[in-house]
Amino acid sequence: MEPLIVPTPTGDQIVQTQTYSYEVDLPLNFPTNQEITEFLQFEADTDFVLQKLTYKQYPEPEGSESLARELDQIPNTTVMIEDTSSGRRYMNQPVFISAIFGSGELPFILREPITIAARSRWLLTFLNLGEFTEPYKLTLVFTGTKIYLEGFS
Amino acid sequence: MAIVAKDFYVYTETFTSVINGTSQSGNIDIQADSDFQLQKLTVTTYPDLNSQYDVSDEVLPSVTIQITDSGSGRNLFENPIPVPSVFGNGRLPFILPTAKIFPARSTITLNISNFATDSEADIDRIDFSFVGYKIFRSGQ
Repeated sequence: MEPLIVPTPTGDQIVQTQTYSYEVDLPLNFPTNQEITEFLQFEADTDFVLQKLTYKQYPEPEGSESLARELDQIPNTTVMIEDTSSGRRYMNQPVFISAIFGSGELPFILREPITIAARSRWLLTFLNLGEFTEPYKLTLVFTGTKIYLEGFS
Repeated sequence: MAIVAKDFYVYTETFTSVINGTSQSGNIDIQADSDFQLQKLTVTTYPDLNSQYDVSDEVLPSVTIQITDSGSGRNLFENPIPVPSVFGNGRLPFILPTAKIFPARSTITLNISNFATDSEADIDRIDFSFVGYKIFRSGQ
């Protein structure tokens, strides 16, 4: 973990930070035109500063073809994200995943990171709009930094 | 008024059946609870929503767009400009050189035009995403 100095009203405080990723996996071969909900439970030990959004969709469970760069699929799937503790939605309508999620090479970087309180819970609602576009595996990854305050380890 | 909180937010407007040689318009209503600070623009284009597209053959729509801020009544562009020139995607979004504020209760009007002359350039669905932050001020 990396030490970080955070200014506070009572003086600078040294905290520990750690790069961390949460992920949301959709069910394998999830069907089209059917809403699927998944929860993202943030861990209780620390707040989380979300900095990058990425996704990966695999067309097939096996075979080298599914790994080929030219078969790096764009999902026909939309997502709606809602913070269940505040009831606040992060978008006015569902958005296509490829609009706000990137890849490991080219992640979507939040210009101003989002601080998410420990124990928060997000509700993600997915809808695959394609008729014949059922992915084998689709994963969203939320990468950022865990902030360990003094007294935590 | 002082800024008291900022929260990540995405406004999206969807257009369907954007046929070659036709124009459409749509509105995004900025919600009353906060101003909106626009920072990034992305677009997703599906000529056929029932087809699977890969990153390597991502579609660049033959569509122009004009954006109007109803709050000031100003156009954002001198003339309608090609969508791929000011909209990116999640991997490479278009980042505004200076963030733009849209006041609460204002409307963003989008006028798009598919300038192609061939039905192969028809679009099943195109979504424009305005990515930024809600700005909550004291009193909001």
